[in-house]
Amino acid sequence: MSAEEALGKALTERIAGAAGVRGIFPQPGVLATVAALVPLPLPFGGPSGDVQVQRVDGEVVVRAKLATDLRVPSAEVVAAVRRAVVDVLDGEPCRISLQLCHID
Amino acid sequence: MSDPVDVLRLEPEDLDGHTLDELSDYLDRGRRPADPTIDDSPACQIALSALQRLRAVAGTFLEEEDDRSPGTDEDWIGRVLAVLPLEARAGRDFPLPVAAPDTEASVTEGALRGLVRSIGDAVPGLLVGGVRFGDPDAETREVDLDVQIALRYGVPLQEAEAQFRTALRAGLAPHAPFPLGRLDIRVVALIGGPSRPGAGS
Repeated sequence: MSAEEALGKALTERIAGAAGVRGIFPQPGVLATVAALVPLPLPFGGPSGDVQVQRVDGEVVVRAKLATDLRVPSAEVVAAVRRAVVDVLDGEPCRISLQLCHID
Repeated sequence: MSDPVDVLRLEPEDLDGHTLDELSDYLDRGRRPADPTIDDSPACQIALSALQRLRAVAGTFLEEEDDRSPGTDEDWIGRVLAVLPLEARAGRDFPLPVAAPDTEASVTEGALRGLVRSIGDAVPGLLVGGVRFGDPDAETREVDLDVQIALRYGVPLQEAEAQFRTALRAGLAPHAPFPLGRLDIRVVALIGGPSRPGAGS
């Protein structure tokens, strides 16, 4: 596994474990990404997806489409995911883009 | 009885190439074998959630109806569902306020519609159909919401409507990145009806 693949996998696992995250949807069509596929044991059966990771102008760009728990306010989910990403990247500059696609 | 799946109006393009029949079969199979093209589609997940609740609600209604009027005509479910559109497509993105400048986040209209449906379907005797968010007001940022519901015959309208309205405002607030403006709840169908004379107990 390359360093970028390992990074993608680590980010996916940490984001999947963030408070309020129930799943990650894949994002077909995103350019030049490192996709790490991590099966997620979800109560509603799907999705097992990936986080898209790109390096652009010295920044790590992280994109994720999420399924979230309705009991956790969306702002808290976003904050938890951001903390997870920043923690994994350990101070490396980043841009994070999150889309909440399913709240249940 | 009409299969509820037959009358929910969803096109394959709304469901990433799948049909509601396929999703219904998938539920019948306990989502096995796993189909990534369904599991990985937000639209399919929204539709599956709605379909699952629909089956649960319809099943309860049918059992109670049959207790009151054995052998009653069950086509009313199909007739009711025919006027309850279920939309699963993602729709617009509503940006979520995030303090950190390196982070942007949004919630899809489809996710909020699914949330509204989930909140409403939890109110006894009520089934949510069409959910339409308006455009944000330029000054107040408020977004109006129009919800179509079917109400079970015999359920007090004002009570159910008030319960739904309260739950909706409380349930949307933690997720919708805008203040809720006007909230219109329209009853578009009644589910069931009075027992037929001489039928049942």
